[in-house]
Formats: sequence, structure tokens, C-alpha cells
Amino acid sequence: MATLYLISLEPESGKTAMCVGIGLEFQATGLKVGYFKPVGRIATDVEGHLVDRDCAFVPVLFGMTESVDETCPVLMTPDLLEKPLDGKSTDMQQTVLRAFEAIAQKYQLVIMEGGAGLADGWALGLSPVHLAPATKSQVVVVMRYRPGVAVDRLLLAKSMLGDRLVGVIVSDVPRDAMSFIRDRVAPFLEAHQMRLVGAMPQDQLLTAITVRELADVLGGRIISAPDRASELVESFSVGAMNVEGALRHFMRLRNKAVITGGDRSDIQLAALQTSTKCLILTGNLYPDSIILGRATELGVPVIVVPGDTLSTVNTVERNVGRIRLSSPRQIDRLRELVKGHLDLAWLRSVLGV
Amino acid sequence: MLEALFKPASVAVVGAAREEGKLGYTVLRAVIDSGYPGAIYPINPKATQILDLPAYPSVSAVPGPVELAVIVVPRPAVIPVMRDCAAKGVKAAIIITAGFREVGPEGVEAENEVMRIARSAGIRVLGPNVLGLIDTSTPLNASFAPNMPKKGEIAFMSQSGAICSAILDWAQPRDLGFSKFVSLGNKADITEVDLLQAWGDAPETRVIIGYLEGISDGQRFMRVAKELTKRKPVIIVKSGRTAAGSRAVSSHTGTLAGSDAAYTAAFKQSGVIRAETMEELFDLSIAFAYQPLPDGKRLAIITNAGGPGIIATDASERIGLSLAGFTNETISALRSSLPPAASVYNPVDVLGDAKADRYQVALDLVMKDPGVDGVLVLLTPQAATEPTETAKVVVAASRNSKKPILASFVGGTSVEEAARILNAGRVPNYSFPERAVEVFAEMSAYDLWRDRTLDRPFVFDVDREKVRAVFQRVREMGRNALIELEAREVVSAYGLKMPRSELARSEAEAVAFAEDIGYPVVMKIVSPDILHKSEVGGVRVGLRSSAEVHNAFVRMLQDARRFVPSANIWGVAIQEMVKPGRETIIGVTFDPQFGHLLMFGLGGIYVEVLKDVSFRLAPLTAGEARSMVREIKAFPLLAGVRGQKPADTEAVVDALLRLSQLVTDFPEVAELDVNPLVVNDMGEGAIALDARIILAQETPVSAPSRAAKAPIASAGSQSQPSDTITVQ
Repeated sequence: MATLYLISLEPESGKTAMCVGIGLEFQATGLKVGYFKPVGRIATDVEGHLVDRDCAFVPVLFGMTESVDETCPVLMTPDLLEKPLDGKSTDMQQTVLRAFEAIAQKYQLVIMEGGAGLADGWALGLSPVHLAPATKSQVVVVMRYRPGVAVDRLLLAKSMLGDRLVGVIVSDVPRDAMSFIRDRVAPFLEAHQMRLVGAMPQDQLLTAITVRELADVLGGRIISAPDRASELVESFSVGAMNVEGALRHFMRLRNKAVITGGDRSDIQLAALQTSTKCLILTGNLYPDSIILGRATELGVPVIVVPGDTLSTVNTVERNVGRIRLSSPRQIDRLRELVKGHLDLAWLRSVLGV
Repeated sequence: MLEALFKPASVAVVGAAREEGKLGYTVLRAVIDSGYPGAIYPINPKATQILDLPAYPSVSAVPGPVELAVIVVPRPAVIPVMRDCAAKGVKAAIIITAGFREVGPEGVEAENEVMRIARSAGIRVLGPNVLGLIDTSTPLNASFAPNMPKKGEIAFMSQSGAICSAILDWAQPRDLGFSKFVSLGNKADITEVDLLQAWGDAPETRVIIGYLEGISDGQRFMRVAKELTKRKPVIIVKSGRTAAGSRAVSSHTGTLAGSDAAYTAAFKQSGVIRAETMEELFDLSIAFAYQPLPDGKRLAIITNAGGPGIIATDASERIGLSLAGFTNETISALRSSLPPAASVYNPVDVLGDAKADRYQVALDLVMKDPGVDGVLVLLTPQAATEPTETAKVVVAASRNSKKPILASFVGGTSVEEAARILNAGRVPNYSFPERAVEVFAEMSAYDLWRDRTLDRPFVFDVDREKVRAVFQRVREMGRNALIELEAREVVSAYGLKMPRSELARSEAEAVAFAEDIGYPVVMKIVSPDILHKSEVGGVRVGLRSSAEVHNAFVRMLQDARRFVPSANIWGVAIQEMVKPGRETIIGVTFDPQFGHLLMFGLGGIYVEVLKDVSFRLAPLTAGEARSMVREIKAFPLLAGVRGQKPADTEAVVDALLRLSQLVTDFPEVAELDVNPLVVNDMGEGAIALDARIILAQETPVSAPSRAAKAPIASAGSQSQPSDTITVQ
């Protein structure tokens, strides 16, 4: 029995994707892998139950049969957050550790997903600094690539976690910064008794969103090519400029969705002339029939949404950029990247599995 | 070509109706009334006879062969009718019926099905959604326009059916004739280019004119037009020039109007005359149809009043025409024949009391002068004026002349009869002098174009492999914008000179490079995420010491990180500072209809504020590159003003041609800017200080689905290895 505890020092670092990719790759070698998330943060509604967003799908991907209460014993709610303020002692840590033991007994390797920072859950005794020794796990930090490396936070984490912190994964690395990570960052980590487990390159497919998901978050209706609703959108462009500018811009983006007014037939046509996965028409304005015909002919879904362009862009911005893993193509790509860029053999040896 | 459409041996009107007022009746009536000499078959399953002709239940039931089918049945019936036509072996179809591509998805599907049937049976299709077609020499009126126009030499095509019927109506009182009259509709098969090709060979057509909203295959249009305009003038009104206009075109035809600059360049490079307005279209077409072309641009003006003469003179000067200077013989002959108060120089003023005979004398003398390429006769009705008689004189002179005569009889009621006589006598008459002058200018410009030999794009010896490698490397990094360092490699590989540049990653490196290059130096931030370097303080010029370079390095990196926190910064380029010269800009963009469009202008305010730029489409010929340079208003600044030496404009031409070849060799270039290209004095060359290149992610698909290939693919195939000149 071993535990790999993946933590990050700030939100949106790519932990969940790493859990999934590493877990599935280890499973493929015959290892029994379980997933455990001590503290759920972002609740989502599954059949009337509030559950952690990640726990709603990662255990399913791993083929686990345990209930969400077992894989994620604590879900942060407003009440729970206020408990420490009232000075009420909680036995949250005990609850978590009991649930952890139950899972740990059933699997050769437990992948445990931590919160979004070192201090996360401290007041309840649920921070990585509390849980890593209590679960005797090996800690790996997932850091999103930033120009100018944030080494200070990492060294603080190292000083607090000591030998338990064994390695670092740098995620979302631009292709032309890969050599920098390899040549400059890896030796630095070694010098501080940490290993660069790998650098995960930026990948647009991983953060892509399906046309159907887009229609859902925007409250829109798909009025053409519904058979293409599961296509993945990798980038977005707003068509508010003149056609020439728009076309120039559209040519640069691959597998994009174009957000524009329903009355901008010129922009819509420009979008249809370049690689466009869907047209998002704002203001509940239907396109000209001649354009709807063209979109249908080309198999490009048109989504008519109620919001204006600005609010639509805001909604899109809130909903994209995250790794979604909602399509099998994305899972395959994730596994391919994990296999190609992470030192899984070293990870196994350090975990002893 | 397209004989089955314009000169069919037999015509079936499918959907012919017995009841007056129905479309099927109007069309059949038009075919009969046009005097069409071939067999006419009304097709209607419920009738045995329509308009005294035996009717047939289907096209295949017709006993003889059917060459042309004119289809006016309701849309759901069009597909079965097309199948019937295919079975019968019909060669061409005019689908007047609407309700196809223009109405949405189900219409698109129907139109595609129609075209599948037509293609497999080899049927050429005009339409759907058209007014129809008129050929006055066949004669055949296969349209729902009730009135056949007079026979004439002008062939007209229009992407708008409504414009067609309006023009037919407009032409009637003006007694204007046409050779062909076609509405293009949805252009499912036959496009404007097919018509150009067909009409190029039609002897009854002297002038080809058109109203277009978009061109389906820009590059084919240019190839065909370039050759055709050597034989016949092609005059086109292209609408959708403004942002709002282009939006309207998109809604109307479902095609992207395309950039107006690209259309202007395409027309210029293929000799097509662009009329700005419908009025100008007809002003021009009448002159081209009625009058011979001038051999030059020297215009003589004869007038009976000072005012109109001055107006015409101003107009000539403004648009670059030269007023003819008469020979001594002409001047003395005029002096002895005209009253002493008359002006015998150009413009010739025959005075207000001139009757027709005085006009005749002046006209005869001026026409004979070898220094005159064409004559404009102005007349204002005054007390003694004889407009009608004068018109007869002008018509008679025009009949025997190899030089063009244009007229402007200014007035209303009193010149009405004169105007009729001029028109009937094929002398174009304009209500005001300026219009006549503008027409003459276009005629002489066209004459120049016709006489010009076409040169070919030439091919430089360049390092293609280097560019291929750079593009591949950039793509592998998941980018499509080249950083300056990479763009430098590309344009240098194509022979543009660039100053020395080194990438420094640290303060120490920066200073070392600067010492080696020699002060002063230029410093520029290098980052794939910062394209507009100067906006983030990423460009410094004129650094003169190691301390300045050191401090600039630190500050530039800091500012770049502050303004663009997510930017991945490679370092700072240390560049040789070149001596100042005249700054120019070369830009390339990609137009979906025509391919790569090159732009040239003078740097700074000239491009950005004054928009003083010229455009041409790649591949460029040397002549085209030279006119790009000369065309800008600021050209005198390059040619040298106020004692300044002329700049090395040939070096600019060379750079334009090399970049034209670059984008022709690599169609994936979506955008390219060389800014600035510093031009030194004549003989000293030009040097590019900065370059920016953006690659297309994917090749855009061509607008109409029927176009066989994406424009970018055909852009690559248009370089002609067989007939290009290689320059080492």
C-alpha cells in the first residue's frame, strides 16, 4: 500500500488531470489504483446530492465502486467554514483519516488529491502539512508554468513537508520553454532534494470544450448540425471588428468558436471560411437563412444564445481554460502526454509499488 | 462557348402556363416574342397546347432534341425536372425558380442535388434564382423580362435580377441596345468568369459590362480577364465596398464581399475598368461601344461658351489628361475660318453666335490635327445656336472618324432633339462636360493597357529550404506567429538585407554584443508572446554606451514582464543601428478571393494616418511592383524633393518582388510586414529593420462549396515554372 499525494500551491494548477493521467497509466500496468480526495471544494449537483466536482467523475474513470462519501468524506460548506471561528473543536481529521484507511486497504496505490495551497484546510487540521505525515504519503507538487519560476513558495513547501515532498510536476509549459525547465529548473530541484517528475506541455485539446457543453453554459440553442455537438472547441474569437480584420484573426486560430452578433453575416461567413467548430450568435438573433444554409452544408453547429456579446464572452471566460476531460479523445491525449513527459518509472520506485 | 445557352437549336419552357400573369406564361411569351428561330416546346402535363404551340407533358416526351430547358416550375418540382432533362440529353438549363441556397439549409440541399444531376449529365446551369437570359443576335429572350432590348454591342451580366429588369426598363427610352443580357442568380454552375470567357469570343459583343457583388474564383477571374481585356473592354461595378455594404452582400448572396483593396488590385492588374457607380458604368459602356479608342490622351475641346470649356479643361487637368496642343497649320486655319473674337487654341471657342456650320469648320480642322487623339464637342443653347443641326454635323464627322468624338450638349428642352440625333448617330452625349472628360480618360487608359505587353513574374534564386525549416520549427513549438528573430531568417533567405542582430539572454551578453557590433545599437525584446514590441517599451534605439545597454536590458525585461505577465521572454536582440533613410512599409495579407495582397506605403503617418498606400496581388510582375511604388501620393518624397537625392526605388521594387515570391512559394503565410524598410539614396539599396510573419493555422475554405480548391491551394499552383524568368 502506497499513497501519492498530489498538491498544488495555487488553484488551477492541473492536479486533477495529473491524478487521472497518472492513475490510468498505472492501472494500465496492472496496478490497483484508487482515488481519494480528503476535502471537496467545489460542489456540483449529481442526482440531488451535492458532491465534489472532481469526485463526481475521477472515481468513475478509475472504475471504483465506492460511494462519493467514501472517496470524499468532507465537502466544504459555508457552515463548515465557520466552525473554527466559533472555537468549536471538530474531529474532521479523524473522519478523513478513517475514510482514507478504508480506501487504502483496498488498493495498492491511492492517489490523493490535495487542496489549492499549503494552508488550505489548516484550521480544520486538513492541510497537506497535517495530512501528508498522517497518511504517510509521498507528496508531489503540481505547478503551472509561469515565466520567472515561483521558487519561493516551493521552497517554503519543502521546508514544511521535508522528506515527504519528493517531486515536482510543471504543467502547462509552452513548447519553447521545455528546454528551460529541463536545463535550469531540474538541477535546481535536485539541489534541494526534489525531483522534476516531468514538464507537461501546453495542450489545447485538453482544455477544449464540446459544442454541447458550450450551448449548456451559455443557455443557448443549437440550430444547425446537431450531429456535430460533441466536437471540441479549442479556442475562441470574438467577431466584432471589420471582416478583413476578422478573417486575418480567424486564420490564426484552430478549432475555434466564433462569438458574434446574429446580424453580422459578414463575420459569420468569414468564420465559416476558416476552421470553425461552432458559431455562437448573441442577442437571440437568428442568422440569415443563406448563412444557416451554408453552416448546415459545412456541418458547423450554430448556437443562438440570449446574452449580448459581452456577457457571452464573460461566461465563456469563466468556463474555459480548465482541463475538462469530458471526451474520450481528451483522456487519450492526457494519457499520451503523461506517458511521454512524466518519469513514471521513478515515481513507482519512490512509491515502492 | 456556352452555345447551348445562348444559341440553342431548341428551347423547352418547363412549367409553361396558359394563364396570363403566371411566370410560366410570361417566359413562354418572351421566348416566342423574341423571334427565336428554333423549335419551342412548352412543357406542361395538364395542357396540350399553349399559345398556339403543342405542349408536352415532360421534356422527355418532346419528339425532337431539346438543347436548352428554361425551368419555371415550383421548387419541389425542379429536381424531377432536372432528372427528366438529364434523361433527355438536354445541354443547358436556366433555372428561374427561386427557393434554393438563398433560403437556408433545405434550399442548399436542393441546390446541391440539382447540381449533382446536372454534373453527371453534363448539363450547364444558369441560376437558380435568376431573371433569365437574353441574346439579341440569336435572337432569344429566355427570361421573365417582357421587353426584349434593342440589338447592340454591349453584353451585360448582373448578380442581381432586380438590377437586370431595372436596366432593361431604363435602356428602353434611351434606345440602348445589348448583345447579351444575363442574370447570374445563385451561380451554382455558371459564374461571371464563364460568361467572360464565352463573350470574349462572341463577335456581336464589343463591350462586356457587369454588376457584381462578389467573384467566386478570384484567381481564375484574373487569368481570364487579363487575356480578355486585351481584346475587349470589361467594365464592372463591384458593390459591397464599404463595411455596411459588404455586410449587405453577405446577407444577399451568402458570399464574403472580400476586401475592396483586393478587388481594386485585381481589376487593375487584369485591365478591368472599375466603374464607381451604375451611372458611370453606362457612361463608359456607351462610349466604348459607339466610338473608336483614342491613340493617346490628348483631348481637343470645341465649345460655344467659355464656361463649359473651362469646366472641361479643369476636369481634364484634374484627372491627368493633357489638352491637345494644335499644330501651326491648324491654328492658322482656325484663325482664318473663325471670327476674330474666337479662341483658336484649345479649348476652341467658336463663340455664342456659332451656328452648325461654324462647328463643322472647327471640328473638321481639329480632327485632322495629328496632335489630337479625341474631340469633345460642347454646346450650350444660346440665341443663335442650332442644336439639332449641330448634332447632325457632329454625327456626320463621327461617322468617318478613327478618333473618338464625345459630346456634351448642356441643356434640357432645347437640346432634346439634338440629344436624340447624337444617340442615334452613336455619339455619346453627356449632360455635363466633366462626365465626358472622365469617359475620355478611361478610354485612353484602356488603350494604353491594351497596347502593353504583359510581363511575367520573375523568380529569384532564394533559400527555400531555410524558410521551410523555420516554419516547421515554429509550428512544432505550437505557435503561428514568428518572432522577429525567425522572421529575419525568413526574409533574409529571400534576399532582403537586414542589419546584424544578436540575441542576448543576460545583461553581460547584451553589453558584449553591443561592444562587438559597435555603438550606437538598437535593442528589441524577443518573445513569442509580444508581437507589438514598442507598446510594452520593448524597443530602444540609439544606445551609445555599455552602461546604457546594461540599464536598458534590465528595464526592458522588467517592463515586458509587468505589461505582459504571461509572456515567455527569450531575451533582448542587440542590433546594429543603420543610418537613417526614407522609411517605407511593405505588408502582405491574405484575401480569401484573390490570395496574397501586397501593400506598399511610406512609413509613419503616411500609412497610418493618410492611408497613402498602394495594393497589388501576388505574384507581382516587375511592372506592377514599379507602379505600386509610383502610385502612392508621397512618391515625390522618394523621387527626391527640395534638392534631396532620389531614393533607391529599384531596391524597393526588388524587395516587393522577393516578398511576392516568398508568399507565392509559401501560401501558408497569412500575414507579413516589413516595417520599416529603410530606403537609401539611389544605388545604395534598402535595408529591412523589422519583420513580422504570421502563419495560417489552416487553409481557409473557399466561399462557395463548388469551388474545387481552397484559395490558398491554388495560390501555390499559380506560380508558373514554365514561363517565368529566372534571375540569379
